[in-house]
Amino acid sequence: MSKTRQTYMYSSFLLIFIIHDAQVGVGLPGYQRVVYQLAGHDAWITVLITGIITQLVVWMMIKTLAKFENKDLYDIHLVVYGKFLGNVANLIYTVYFLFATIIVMRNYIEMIQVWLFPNAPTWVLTLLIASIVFYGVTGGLRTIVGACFIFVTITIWLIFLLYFPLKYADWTGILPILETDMSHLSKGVLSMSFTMAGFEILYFIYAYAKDKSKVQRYSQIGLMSVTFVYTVVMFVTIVFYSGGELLKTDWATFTMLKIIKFSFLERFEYIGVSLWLLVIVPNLLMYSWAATRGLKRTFAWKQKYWLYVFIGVACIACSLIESRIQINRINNLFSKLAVYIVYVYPVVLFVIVNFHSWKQKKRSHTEVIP
Amino acid sequence: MKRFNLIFLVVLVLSLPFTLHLKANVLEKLGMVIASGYDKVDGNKIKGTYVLHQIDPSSKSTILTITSESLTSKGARVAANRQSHKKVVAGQMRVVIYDYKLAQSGLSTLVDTLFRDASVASTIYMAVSKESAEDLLTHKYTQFSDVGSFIVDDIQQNILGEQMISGTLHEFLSALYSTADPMVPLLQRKGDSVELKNVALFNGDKLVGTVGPREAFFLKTIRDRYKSGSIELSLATNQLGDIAKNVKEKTVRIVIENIASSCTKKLISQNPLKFQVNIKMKGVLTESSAQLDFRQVGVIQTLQKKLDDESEKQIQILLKKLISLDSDPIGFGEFFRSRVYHSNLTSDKWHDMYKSASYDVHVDIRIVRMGQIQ
Repeated sequence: MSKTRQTYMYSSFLLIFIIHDAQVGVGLPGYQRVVYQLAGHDAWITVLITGIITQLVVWMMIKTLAKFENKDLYDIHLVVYGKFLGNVANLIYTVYFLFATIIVMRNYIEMIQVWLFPNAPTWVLTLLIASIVFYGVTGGLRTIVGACFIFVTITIWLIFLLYFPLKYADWTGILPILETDMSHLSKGVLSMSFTMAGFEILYFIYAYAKDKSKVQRYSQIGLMSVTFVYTVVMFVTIVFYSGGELLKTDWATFTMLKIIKFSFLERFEYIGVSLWLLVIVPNLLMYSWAATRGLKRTFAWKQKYWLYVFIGVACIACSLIESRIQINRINNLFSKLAVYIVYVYPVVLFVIVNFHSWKQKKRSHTEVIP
Repeated sequence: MKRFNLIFLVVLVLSLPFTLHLKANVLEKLGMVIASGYDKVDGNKIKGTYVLHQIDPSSKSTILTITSESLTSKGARVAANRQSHKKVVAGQMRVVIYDYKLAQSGLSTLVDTLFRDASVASTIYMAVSKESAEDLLTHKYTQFSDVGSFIVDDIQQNILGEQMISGTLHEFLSALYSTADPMVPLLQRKGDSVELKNVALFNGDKLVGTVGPREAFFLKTIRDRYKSGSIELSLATNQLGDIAKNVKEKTVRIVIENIASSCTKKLISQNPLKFQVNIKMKGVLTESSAQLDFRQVGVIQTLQKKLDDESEKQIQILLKKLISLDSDPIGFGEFFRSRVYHSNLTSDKWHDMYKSASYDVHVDIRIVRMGQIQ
């Protein structure tokens, strides 16, 4: 390990915050409707199951990474698939990150436009958010990790706001438990991928964690906290809304905040929507950082120049998405894509890598004996 | 390169006021709607009445009332804006009142527009007015100058004091989009005051009938936990037996102040549809029209027994009335859905089943205190 690399490393403990922030993003304000549509009032069980599946997948990811010491996914691809196929795989991941960046940005801007500034043009807001992202990514990985830590600590108290909708809770909403069948439950799990995505960033930041033996533990704690938050929010949503009402709500989480009223503050969701920027910025930072890193590795151009290109493309694409219907369509597409990239691929890679190392071991074995 | 980034950011931030197309909302130039009322007028039109708060030192009155007609409620607001010297905004709206006829013809589109609007809080109160909402809001009341705030405070005070059922936008929507039916307070102008008396019951989004305050008390007790509020019951003297030997009047009127109550519901059988309703109530006896000797053994017990019987009877009448109105504000449908696996209950299906529902009512009133005297 070179000395310069040491300066880029972060404490493994911070993975709790990184994973938490990478996963909680633009999905949380409105994931309930999609899951409820499929799994009904058992949606909270769906969320719990998805959380457990995610933990299994992350376990496999870290096992895969542990086989390669200080390599990230880009290097692993080159080792496993060879140069050409490896680069293609890397490019697919880069495109996925670009897609994710656009999705997160556009969804948040839609939120601003509906709740705060109905007349604000998309391109201005895109440019504003993009300049924050640009600034953060040029700061390097440690800046990003620091941002994750601080932003999580600033926004985690928002979970206590769930107390207010609970006052209107109707507990019969969640009964009867486990009424839906397996096919609906599994469909609900698939629909959660959009909301759960984000932990794939581990493939790229693992190499920079200081104490590798503790990565597994802290990542799992981070995942658990996300599953907890999602399940609790889902649970409260189901008891707060009646079924038909929830299906009519686009941002169920923020609509719930509409009932909060203080004597000094009439409408709480304005603060909620504004604070949400702090939640989604680390998402954007990590996606752009990981994507531009991959581009730099593949095409041997400075990361900063790639950042200009990456953010430029993201901005233009974001501004071109206009209507709510388009956003929904793109979200659905992303959701389907995310299942393969985030859930299926790590399992496949785990198998391939294990097979690869088994073959190598066998080869070296046969070579030694004679 | 660094300087370029810095200059870019500064230029971007400085250009924000021009590029975001923000509209300045100067308080002095706004007319904040505090209450709005809608009436049905002939030819599918809606008449909107808006009570605006204006911050204007030169004006004598702090409120301004505007009436306008249009095909939709949003159109009515736009039409109101044309009559106002201040921009009409809905961010401070606290109460929406619909007139009886409009509510009878269905409120779903009018409620939908409130739900859709991000600037309208989910906690605004909804109410139905017996006569026209316009009359209610534009009448020159001698006792109070600001009718909007008066109605809001009236509703709020009564709901927080649990004297009236709560009818916020969220509760309305929640019931409307489930198998249950909404209910909201009914307002009525009586001379120079506004009375919050009955409860308007809906079937879906259409008003089907009203119930009085005593029935509303039971309605509320069955629907949710209930802390305060009082009931007035009259018992026939001859049924009280020995304890009311010296009472000359035909009836004894008793007022019980409710301290705490709980209600459990049970589904006894699905076919025929039968529910069990168990109410436990602890109360203070605050008024009695006859001088009863409470030190005597058994007086309290007999009284409690009679009160139980009387309220059971009243609740049965109320539940029958709800069935005959085909309105389920208590949410027995939701209860059925939550207890029966794979019921696939829809609102229509439930309303078909609801007609045949019957109830087993048990009330257990316990008088725990009697005030200062025996």
